Amino acid sequence: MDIAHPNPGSRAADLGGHEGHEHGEHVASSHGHLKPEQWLLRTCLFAGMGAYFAHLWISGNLGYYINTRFVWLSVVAALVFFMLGASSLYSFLRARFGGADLAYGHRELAGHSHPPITFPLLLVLAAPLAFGLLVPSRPLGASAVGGDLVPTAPTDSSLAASFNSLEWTVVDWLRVFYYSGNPDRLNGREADVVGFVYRRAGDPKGHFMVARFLMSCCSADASAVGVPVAWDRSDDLPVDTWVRVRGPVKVQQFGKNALPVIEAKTVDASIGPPAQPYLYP
Amino acid sequence: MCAALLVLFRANSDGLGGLQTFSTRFLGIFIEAAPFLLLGTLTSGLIEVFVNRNHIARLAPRNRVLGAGCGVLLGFAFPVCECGVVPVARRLFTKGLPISVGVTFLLASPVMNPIVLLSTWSAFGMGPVLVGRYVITAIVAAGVGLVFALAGRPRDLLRPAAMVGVSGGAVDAPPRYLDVGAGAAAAETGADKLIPRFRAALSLASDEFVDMGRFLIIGSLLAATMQTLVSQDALLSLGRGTVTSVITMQVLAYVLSVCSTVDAFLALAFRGTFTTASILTFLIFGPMVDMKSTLMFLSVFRPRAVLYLVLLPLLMTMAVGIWLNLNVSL
Repeated sequence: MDIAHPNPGSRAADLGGHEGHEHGEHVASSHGHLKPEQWLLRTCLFAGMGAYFAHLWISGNLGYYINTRFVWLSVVAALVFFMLGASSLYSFLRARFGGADLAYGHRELAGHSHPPITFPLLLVLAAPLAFGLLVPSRPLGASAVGGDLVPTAPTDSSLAASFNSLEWTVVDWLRVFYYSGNPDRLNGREADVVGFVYRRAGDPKGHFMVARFLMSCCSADASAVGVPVAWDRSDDLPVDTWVRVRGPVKVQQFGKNALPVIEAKTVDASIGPPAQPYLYP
Repeated sequence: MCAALLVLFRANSDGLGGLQTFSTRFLGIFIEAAPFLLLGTLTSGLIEVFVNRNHIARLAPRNRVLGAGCGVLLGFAFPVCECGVVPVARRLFTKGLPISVGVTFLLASPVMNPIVLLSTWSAFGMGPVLVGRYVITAIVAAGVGLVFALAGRPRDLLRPAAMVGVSGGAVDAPPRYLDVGAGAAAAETGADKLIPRFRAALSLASDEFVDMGRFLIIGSLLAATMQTLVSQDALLSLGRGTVTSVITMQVLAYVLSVCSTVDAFLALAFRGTFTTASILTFLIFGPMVDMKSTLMFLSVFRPRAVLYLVLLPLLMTMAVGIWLNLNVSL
């Protein structure tokens, strides 16, 4: 499998180009020349990538993977992929119909070798497309939490933007709880938060955590945070259900930590995932 | 360390949810990094086509100390992260860039660019992390560049494919894309050359993407596997030790291979649990060397040189991190 040494042909080709112009053409035709099918393969690969990025952008699913402030980068990527695809298509047409002498990359890029896409390499390069097409596009959920859900210190000390606690997100509640100096002042304030249901092993009956993923940049750095909810019908709620929880908050011992616990009056389990599943710090 | 990591491994309870998580994390890294890789390869292609190797060879100082300093600053001229820096460096080497400049550029450039400056600033503000990242990166990168310049000749360090022009003698040759039919091409002027040149840059960029994309994708697959299998909490429990915090962050930086333009945001997540010095080590070492870039280095340098290219920054940043942990309250 030719993974670690991407350019086996380039040694001879580069040295040939360097040693003298009179050898350049010969070297280029023996090493730098790709068969038309290779150009077609590249065309498909780049066009597929471009189409995938464009699809993510248009469908709005891009927000499942990256922070939405980076969306413009994906649009740029789609454009560049299409440009590379067009360039490969042009090379294919010249290689297929223009004859070997006109094959693009032959005249203008003598001494440069075009790496062929072998079958193992194709498996690697097509992996993003395969995962993108075969695995349903979904935001991170309960199975990705993999932790305690209660950070010892949330990532940002800035206080919630609003004085109205009904507008606070799960993260805002934790921020205010950890940084306001007097967490007991949270007692009795009304909460209205959206998140997915998560349960930790050993949490008391009649409770669940309403959780959100906090994402700085992309889904690779997303980590979950959550606030406990006390609700008498908690145990009927399946994990990963998106819920809207409303009720007053009481700071109390929950598991190992003192936490703001929402004593839910209503839990709406029919809301479905929000358009923007992640919170940004 | 391996044993510790093994202990941290835990089976994922639900297969389908695990696959879903893996896919989302993998695609997250790929989708985030692909634009930077593309911009890097485009830059690389444009350099090949538009930058005359005579200029680089003439402008880069022959003096080794000056060369290392120049390599640090060269990063600002090519705003690419570590996904894109290796193709650019490889092209610059073929253009006759001296070894000290090239190695320093390779190590410093992922951090020395406006986008990383902006992301680090927005994550950590103006403070010890931002200043430390830039100052220490410059010192370590210049130091490694000097070691390479003193210890080796280009012939011993570079794979033959990357060496054309470094060995000298080729600096007078015209750009390679003009090699065949140079007479006809040379007769063309200004605007006439622009479109074929741009087409050539695109063709080079697609070659680079095929060459380098495999490393990004394999790196992303490995990083996503780690994230799906290793409990983050268990890793975080290492974050308070003087030595373990630094080494853990270096292993994380190496394995996760997160793009230098975005690693500041990832590091932010460790702010509460890991020492500031270890986070600084993460931000300095990660952009220089990680699993993905090690594989990429192998396409430019000989295996022995790659070993030094990994070990020198590793040990130097480890020493800095542990020293800061012991002596400086950040």
